[in-house]
Amino acid sequence: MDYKKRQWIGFGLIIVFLLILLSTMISNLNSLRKNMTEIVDDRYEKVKVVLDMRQLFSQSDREILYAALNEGKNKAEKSVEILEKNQTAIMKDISQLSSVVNTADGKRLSQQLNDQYQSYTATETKIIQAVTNKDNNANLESLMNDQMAKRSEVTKTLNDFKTYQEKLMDTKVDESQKSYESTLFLSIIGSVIGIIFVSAILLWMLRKLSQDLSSIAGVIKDIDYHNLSSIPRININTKDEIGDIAHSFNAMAESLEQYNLNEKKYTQEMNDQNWIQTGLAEIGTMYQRIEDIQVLANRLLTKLAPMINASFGVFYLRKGDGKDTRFIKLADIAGDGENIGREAFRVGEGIIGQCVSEQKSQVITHIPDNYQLVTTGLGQVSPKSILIAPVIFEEQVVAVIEMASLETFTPVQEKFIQKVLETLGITINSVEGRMEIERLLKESQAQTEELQAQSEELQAQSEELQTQAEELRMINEQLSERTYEAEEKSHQLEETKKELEEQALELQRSSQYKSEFMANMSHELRTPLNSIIILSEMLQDPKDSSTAEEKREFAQIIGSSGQDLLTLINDILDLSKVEVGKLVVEFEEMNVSEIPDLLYQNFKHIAKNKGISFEVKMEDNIPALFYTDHQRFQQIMKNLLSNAFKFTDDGSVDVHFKKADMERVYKHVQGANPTIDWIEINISDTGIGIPKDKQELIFEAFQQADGATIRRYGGTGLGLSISREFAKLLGGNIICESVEGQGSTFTLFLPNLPEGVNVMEESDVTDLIAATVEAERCQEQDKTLDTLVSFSEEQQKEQANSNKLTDKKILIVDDDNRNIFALRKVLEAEGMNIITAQNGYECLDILHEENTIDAVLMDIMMPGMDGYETMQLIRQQEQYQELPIIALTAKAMKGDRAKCLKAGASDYVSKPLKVDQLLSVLRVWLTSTVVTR
Amino acid sequence: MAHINGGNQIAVKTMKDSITQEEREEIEIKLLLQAIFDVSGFDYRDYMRSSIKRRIENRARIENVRTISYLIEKVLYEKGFVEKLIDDFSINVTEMFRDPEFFEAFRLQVIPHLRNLPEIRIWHAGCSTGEEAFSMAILLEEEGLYDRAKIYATDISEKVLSTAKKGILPLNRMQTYTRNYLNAGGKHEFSKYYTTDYDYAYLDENLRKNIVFFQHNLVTDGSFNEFHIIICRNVMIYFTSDLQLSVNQLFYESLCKGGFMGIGSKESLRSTQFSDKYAVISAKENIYSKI
Repeated sequence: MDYKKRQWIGFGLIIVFLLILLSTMISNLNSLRKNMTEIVDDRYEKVKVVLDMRQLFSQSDREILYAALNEGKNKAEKSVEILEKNQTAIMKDISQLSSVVNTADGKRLSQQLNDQYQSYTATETKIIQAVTNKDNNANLESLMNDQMAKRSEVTKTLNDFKTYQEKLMDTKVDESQKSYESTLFLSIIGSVIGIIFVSAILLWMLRKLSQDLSSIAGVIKDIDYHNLSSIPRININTKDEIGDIAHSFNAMAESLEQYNLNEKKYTQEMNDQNWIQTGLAEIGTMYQRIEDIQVLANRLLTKLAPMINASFGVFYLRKGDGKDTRFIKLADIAGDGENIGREAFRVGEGIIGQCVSEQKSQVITHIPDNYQLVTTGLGQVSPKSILIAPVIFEEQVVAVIEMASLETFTPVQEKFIQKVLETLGITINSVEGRMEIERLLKESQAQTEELQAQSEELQAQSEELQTQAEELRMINEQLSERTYEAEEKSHQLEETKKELEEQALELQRSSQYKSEFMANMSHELRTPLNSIIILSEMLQDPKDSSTAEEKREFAQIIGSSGQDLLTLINDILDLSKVEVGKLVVEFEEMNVSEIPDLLYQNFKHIAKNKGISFEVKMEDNIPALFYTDHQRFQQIMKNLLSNAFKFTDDGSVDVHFKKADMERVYKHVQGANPTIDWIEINISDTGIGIPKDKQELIFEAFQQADGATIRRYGGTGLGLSISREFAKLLGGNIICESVEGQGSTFTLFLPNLPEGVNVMEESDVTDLIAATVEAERCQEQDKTLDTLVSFSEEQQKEQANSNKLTDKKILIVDDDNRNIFALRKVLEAEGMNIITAQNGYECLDILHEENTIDAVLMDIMMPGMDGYETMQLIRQQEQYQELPIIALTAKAMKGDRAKCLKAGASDYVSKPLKVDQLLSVLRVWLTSTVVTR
Repeated sequence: MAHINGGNQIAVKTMKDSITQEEREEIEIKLLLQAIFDVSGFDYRDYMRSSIKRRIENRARIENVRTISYLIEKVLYEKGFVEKLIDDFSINVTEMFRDPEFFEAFRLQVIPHLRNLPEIRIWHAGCSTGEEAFSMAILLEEEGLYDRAKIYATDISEKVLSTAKKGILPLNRMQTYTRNYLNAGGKHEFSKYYTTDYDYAYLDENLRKNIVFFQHNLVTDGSFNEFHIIICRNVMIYFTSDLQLSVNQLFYESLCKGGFMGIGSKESLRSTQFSDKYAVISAKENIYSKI
């Protein structure tokens, strides 16, 4: 019987029992209540009605009696009224009573009562009538008696009824008492029985349950949660719930056991897996940075052996292909450090060879007795198992590992080995690849170095060759120099000869000059002397008939002739003084504005006389105070103007003072200093002019255009010579421009020299300029005083021959004339040819026209096209890619250097320039270079 | 056992009647180098054979001798010949600011590290005629470090050193040098550092004041100081790998910690053994720093 059923039954029984008990008690109580109700409702009611009736009856009786006694009509009527009312009430009570009476005795009694009361009532009514009618007493008496009898009957019945009812009531009370007692008894009995019964049932139910539960609890308590591999079972085979619980518990225990088992298995597997993974990771880490297969093999065996408890290990690597495939022992590991294993084997050779051809690992556990022995400290032991594992990469066995152990390899170890093999193939391959790369790298490095060495050797050789070529060239040069020297010597001889000839010619010419000079002199001297002599003779003549007027004229002529002679002698003296350098010049302040007046004063009348217009123009930009030798200046002006007037018959003579055009100054005045003021004075005439070939000649002493001119115009012919010499002494020069027949313009260039010629030496340009000027002056002096070719020039020339700079053509591009001047002086001194350009455009034009420029000195800061742009444009031209361009930069400018180089400068030199540095740079860039690489 | 085997092998070789021309030459070269070593003390046995061979052949051609063996004879008997050969072996290719990028990298990446040194010792190994040492002097001068620097410029050849000591450069190289100087990031005018006459450029005396030239043989001589910088460019290319390793070792030992080493653009540290010991400053220009 299952627990549920048992419970159903047990509790059902309890409920049934309780129900029975309850119903019994209820029925008892009901009967009690019924009795009580009967007592109260029925009996008591009936008794009450009876009592009521009795009261009413008595009252009626009394009333009747009263009425009968009183015989008052009114009073009787009132009694009648009450009587009737009581009668009705009694009748009602009787009928009520009869209706509720249920017992037979009761009915009989109530019927009897009813009947008796009917008769009583009738009597009563008669009485009343009698009373009312005031009948005789007798009648009344009888009636009264009758009524008395009847009343006693009624009363008696009433009492009977009452007694009966009371008796009934008593019975009922007894009954109730009995019923109560029985109920009480029943209840007690029932309760006792019920308690016993319920207790029995509960006992029956609970005992079984607690037994089962405690047996379950005991079993569960007994479970060792740390070891769920064996859980005790519950031995309850009932078919109830407990049985079910036990059953379920058993099932659970079983599954727990299973689970535990599985878990253990998994953990084991996981541990194994972990071990494998850790091992693999370790081996994987070990693979890193291995660049040599030998190292790999050694490290692998060293690592692997302890992991799988192997005492022996050999690593074979595949070598060769196809038939030649062999497996060479690369590494081995043995407990005693001895060499073990075969050195090599072929595919299919022995078990290991078999493994290779099958590409399958093999574990040998049945070791033959005579197999390799593992040496221990005490002796030798045979390994228990051997593992031969081919390493496969891309379906080819690339290596084989053989391991031997004193223990049996566990499946995990085997698995581990398999895993290792999986990656080992790739590793071997990559290490081999790395080795190959390394080898190739080394090879290529070696080759690169070899190439470098070769290229250096080649370079060295080419340098040697270059040196040899240089030597050859030197020899060649020496030879050609010798030839040149020989030539030069013959040339010199020729030159000397020529010179001699020329000197002879010169001598001849100078003698000719001399004679001509003498002739002229004689002529010049003679003419005034003639007149002096003649006129003086005439005056001496006693027969002289001339008038006083005439005599005065003669004296005048003699005087003027004497004056002429004096002038002539002065001129000659001046010239000779200049020529021997004895003329002293004194620089002093000269007020330029006074000059025109002075000139007008001196020449106005001549112009007037000759009918020629004469004008002196002075431009504003001329310094008011000008330092020069006033006297010489006036002498020059006088000479030039006299000259102009002399050769001009009609037209005009103009003098024009202006600030000098420096270009012209450079052109015509050697060594002109650009830092000081220059004026130029043009004296133009509309005279006869001078033929081109004679324009320089006229400055020679005693030279005039031709002999005839002298005769026509007179003059010593010394004026221009002297003027030019003077002009040079004053630091300037005189030039002549003329068109024959149209007129001439003589231009005097003059510097403002507050401190004399020496100022130029100390001027702030550079020492070099001064030096050059000095040299220039020397040269000039030499030229003036001495022969055509001076010794110093010769020396210079000689120097220049070995100088790399000689005859090189340099283009100087600079917008500052002073710079150009300075550079020109320096470079010309080195025998270089100088071309100048004032700006980028000019530079490009020059380069366009001329392609023999050797180098360019390029100023950067120029108006218009600057140096950078110019250089870029030059470099764009094919033929000027290699042209040395040396940029001249101001040091102050940042980034100059980079910009210069970017623009295409070959080198650069910072301003202020240093002569040595500039020359060094030019030497570097004008030297033909060794071609390297 | 092995010994006996070796002996057998030699026996087999000599027994071999027909050795190739190449093998013969190899023997001759070996003997010649041995002779040079024994006579002069200069050891060229670990130099790159191919290069040495070319130099020897070149000399043989000039001397107009048929075989190298004749050169051996000359080495042993002819006075001054060994010097000639040694001269041949030293390839003196150099330029001022050779590989301008190297000097530029040096200027940008090494110089900043030198600023705090109270003294800078530089070794130019294989300096040849000194151009690179002069270049270094100019570079340091421009960086304001030259007064603190001492440049030890060494070479195997006394001849080139005597040239180097003069500080005279052929004029016809100066254009190249100028270009190199400018490309190497020179800060001033190159012309500031020299004067010229008609054939030569003369380096400024000031530039030479802190340079010491002396003879040193990388093959046989050891270290002579601890340096902050070692420059040895295009020298080791003439050496075999083994010799390169030993020279590298010498440099490593001679370099102070954090010191810099510059080698030729085509050269390498060669061995991982050294590449681990140096940090790369400029991979392209082969400038390293000792870790």
